[in-house]
Amino acid sequence: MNKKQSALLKQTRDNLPCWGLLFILMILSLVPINIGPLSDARPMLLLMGVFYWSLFRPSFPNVFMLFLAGLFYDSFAATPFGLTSLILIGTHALISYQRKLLLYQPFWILWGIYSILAAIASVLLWLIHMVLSLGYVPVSAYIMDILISVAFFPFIVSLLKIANPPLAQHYNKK
Amino acid sequence: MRKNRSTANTLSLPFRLIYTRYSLFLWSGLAAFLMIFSIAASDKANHVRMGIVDAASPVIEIVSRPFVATSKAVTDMTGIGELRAENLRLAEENKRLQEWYQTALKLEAENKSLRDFLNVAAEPDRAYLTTRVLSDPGGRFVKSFLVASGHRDGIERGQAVLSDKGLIGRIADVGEKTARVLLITDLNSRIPVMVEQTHHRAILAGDNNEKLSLKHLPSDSGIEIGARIVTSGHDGILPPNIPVGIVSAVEGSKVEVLPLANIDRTHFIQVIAYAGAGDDDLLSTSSVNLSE
Repeated sequence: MNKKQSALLKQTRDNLPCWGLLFILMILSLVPINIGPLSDARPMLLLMGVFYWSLFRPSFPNVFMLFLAGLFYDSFAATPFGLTSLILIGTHALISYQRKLLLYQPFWILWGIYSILAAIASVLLWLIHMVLSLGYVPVSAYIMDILISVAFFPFIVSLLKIANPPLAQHYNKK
Repeated sequence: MRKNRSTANTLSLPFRLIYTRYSLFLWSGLAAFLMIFSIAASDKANHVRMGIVDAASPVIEIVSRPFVATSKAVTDMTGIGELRAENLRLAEENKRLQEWYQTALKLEAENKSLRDFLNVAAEPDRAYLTTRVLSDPGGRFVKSFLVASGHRDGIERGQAVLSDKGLIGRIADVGEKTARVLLITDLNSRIPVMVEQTHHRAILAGDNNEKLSLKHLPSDSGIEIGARIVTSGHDGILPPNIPVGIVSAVEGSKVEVLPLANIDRTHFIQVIAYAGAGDDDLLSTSSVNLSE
């Protein structure tokens, strides 16, 4: 086994928990929550995962994997094929592009940036939903999605931090 | 051997470099193409979709069990305060229903003898298939359930889907082992219904929230809050007289209907094969709980 192969093997082994977590986040997005008023809430868990990993585990999410994860989610959620893939790939590209800048920011700024991304994704979904429905679609459900996603962010990120400690050590010091 | 591998690496290097550089555009472009394709050719896309769901459903089912159990436990705990009141209400309702049961038996016998006397054609048989809700996908575009029965169990597109209290939707897509139920609350759901008491016909439309609206109801219907809405069966697919909801608000021509079924807490559903639609043998080979 040459150096390149062993490095690849190590990277795959390091990323295994990420694969597991990605799968769990996907399953959690698909099972009913059914908790009182939250029964219709849909936190954007996949988006949270991609945001976190693109920032702190850049070796994990590659574009092909995000494409497949999006397709799989779209199959179950009955959204047009490729829509979730586009949102995930777009988020990954954006975070990767600004990674050096974002890496040193305090948590509340990252939270704010995630909130903006979640809002953009929700508005995009709402607009596409209206185009497909050829009419007005109530916006309240999408606003609820944004709020619940923003509220869940610290909790999910804390879980991801425990399972996949950030490779960038700066994050813990901040 | 090593030399061959080295040559292969050298030859593939430019392609790998191009892929690394343009993979973002490649996969984004493919995703955009697939999106347009699935909108333009939705039937074909749905076929592929159900294939993927069929293949992945056993894994999803196993992995999601602990999460579903947790969700159910939390629901039970949060609802414990309501249980006492509900228990009292149910005891009261049970007493009332016992009286109704006796009345119903009497009316059934009377009805049968009158039908025999008038030689009325018998209503078509309905076969019921009971199955489990597999998943409640979080997609915003379609309000739907995935259920753990498909073609092999005799499920067909268009069949009515009931919970214990009333209609909750109809089968929209069918795979071999799974099917997708389009809920009555979905924005695209349109159900031909009638007011049970007055037999005024209307269309029950979903609005992506928990309440439904009644469209095309005659202006002189005089509908009131509390009126029961049932299926009219005029589409020839859904059987008539299935309870759907109760009128909860009337403001001019705007009529709101609250579904009878608690859609969010439905774990088991019944699919009706309506023999009147020409599907006599529809569920005859079902391997799941089938009763007529």
